[in-house]
Amino acid sequence: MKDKFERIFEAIDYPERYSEQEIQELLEDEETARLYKILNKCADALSDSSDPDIDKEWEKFSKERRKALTGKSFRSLRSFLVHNAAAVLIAIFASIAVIAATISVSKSMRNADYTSTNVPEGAPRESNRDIKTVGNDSIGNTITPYESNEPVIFKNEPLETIITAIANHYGTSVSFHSDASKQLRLYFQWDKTLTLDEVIEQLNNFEQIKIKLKDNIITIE
Amino acid sequence: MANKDDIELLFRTNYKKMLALAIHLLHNEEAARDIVHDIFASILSKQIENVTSAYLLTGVRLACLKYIRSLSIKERINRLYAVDLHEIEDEEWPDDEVVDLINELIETLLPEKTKKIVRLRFTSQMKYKEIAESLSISEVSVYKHLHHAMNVLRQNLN
Repeated sequence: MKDKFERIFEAIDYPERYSEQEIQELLEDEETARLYKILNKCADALSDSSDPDIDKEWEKFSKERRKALTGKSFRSLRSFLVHNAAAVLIAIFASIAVIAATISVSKSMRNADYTSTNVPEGAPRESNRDIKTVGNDSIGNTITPYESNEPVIFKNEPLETIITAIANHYGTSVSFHSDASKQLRLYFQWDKTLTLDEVIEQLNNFEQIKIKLKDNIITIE
Repeated sequence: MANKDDIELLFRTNYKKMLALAIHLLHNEEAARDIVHDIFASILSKQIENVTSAYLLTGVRLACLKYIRSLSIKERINRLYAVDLHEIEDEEWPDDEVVDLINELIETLLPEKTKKIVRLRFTSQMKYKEIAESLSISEVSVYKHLHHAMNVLRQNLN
């Protein structure tokens, strides 16, 4: 039987072996929380870079942003506009005609599926940014990721919101037996590749949640 | 409007400190570099003026915070990020003196094998399984060494 310290170490490298609730419980225990905190501090303190080559970094940055950095393109555009007004006007009208034609073509080809990615400004470019998040974050972005098959993270969302989304996806109805359960707030990652039974099993791991599925109705006690 | 020379000066003066802060918070050099580059790109595209070092470092901290906040709890603990995000907002952390002290405590107070495991984990960023295999010990032994190390650090840091 693993003690709680062994469990927190294991959960760090193998989070898939633990439910969100089990991890929350480990982090809420005073001793394991204290251990995790010092592990985090150690990771922060000992993560270090080799001396960066500033010349190389600047060269890389300036190559990527050449136009924005030189400003030459902006100045030459301005002087071009001043000296070639008539030619510019003709070019603008021609562009409008092309754009109008493009819009009428693309309207007939528009895809009904809506997908969007919440890409925080300044966030690193890693594959896990494909994961969709539900709810308002501090910069007030909201997205509706339900149409795609990528995992959905519910951050402190009411159970009612979560179950409604899940029921819509799997084509079932919902019945709440208490208002209190509707208002329960969870941190839950919904893997849409799972069956409904599997998702319900995950939700039932949360202590206060009791969900049953019968006759295509999700019932929450 | 900031010109190329202004941006270059800002970049050359602040890059190293910004990168160091991002690496301390994200434990990942590539991710940290992306954030720092994105901040300079943002200054350029938004034509922000009167940029100070403090502004840039705050920008790094906020960008790291925003990124970590976008992750699930499981993803955060997998990367040993702070669970309490107020700790990332704390501009006193990482404190150079405490960082130096942690390194000194590891060097002077830990047995050789424990010290090696700590460095493999936090500096080389090896997984527990990889450390276990390289030292021909069990993963549980790795946990025990790290647990002992953390107890020593905690006792001496408070």
